[in-house]
Amino acid sequence: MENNTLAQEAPKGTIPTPSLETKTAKPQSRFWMLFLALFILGIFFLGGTYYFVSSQKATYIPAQINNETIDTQKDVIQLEGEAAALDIQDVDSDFTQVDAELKNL
Amino acid sequence: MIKEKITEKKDAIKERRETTQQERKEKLATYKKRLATFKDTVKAERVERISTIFQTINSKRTSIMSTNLERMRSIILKLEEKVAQLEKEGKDTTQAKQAIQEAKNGIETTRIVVQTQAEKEYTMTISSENTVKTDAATMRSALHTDLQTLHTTVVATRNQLSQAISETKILLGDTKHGE
Repeated sequence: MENNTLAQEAPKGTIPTPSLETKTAKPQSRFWMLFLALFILGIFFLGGTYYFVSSQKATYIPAQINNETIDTQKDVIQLEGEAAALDIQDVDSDFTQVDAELKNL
Repeated sequence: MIKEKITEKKDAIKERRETTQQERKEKLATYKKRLATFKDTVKAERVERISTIFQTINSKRTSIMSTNLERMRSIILKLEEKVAQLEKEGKDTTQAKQAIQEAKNGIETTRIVVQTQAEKEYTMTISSENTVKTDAATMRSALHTDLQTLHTTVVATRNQLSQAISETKILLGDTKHGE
């Protein structure tokens, strides 16, 4: 009844303005609204974090390989081994004898 | 273009070989004549021995390098076959083929350089009996520098070969590469 007092008292032709009490929600409902807003924000935050983390991970998509490719791979690895096994020594070791002879000269 | 350069280099080597042959003979004759005048025969023998060691080092080392280059050549040819096979399968072999070509050129050029080094003679220029030690040390240093430079070239060639192998591995979908 009290809420309608102002509306009743307003002069004709003017729009009645609601009282201050009607604008503010009850403290209990305000808590739930805040809770809901934070909950939604939390969901968005978690979702965003999950998306970010998962997008940073390198995706491993194994190439489709057939037996022929596997054989070629084996051959190439074998060639790599052959190249690594090449005996490319430094030349210094060859000069030990000549250095000894030079000392005695 | 590269083949032309290699042919030019080969021709230049042939020309140089012919002109230096006479010089070598003269140098060897002077060396022997100087050595014969040595009062200390033991010293003369040692100089002779050192001179022989110089030649042995050069021929042994260049022989090892030639063998290695021959192996590299064999590997690169096999690799080329594999890449050609992959090209037939429809793979983009541009990078691998380029790396193989670079390695092949490197091997060919290094082979020529090694061949030239093998033909070099390290005959000492003896100034006098007293300074023969310095003469020998100078010759030792020259041989060491030449072989060291050649060794660096061979290592670089091997790296080119490794690069070609790596490119082929990428082509084969080796995901471990470059991690």
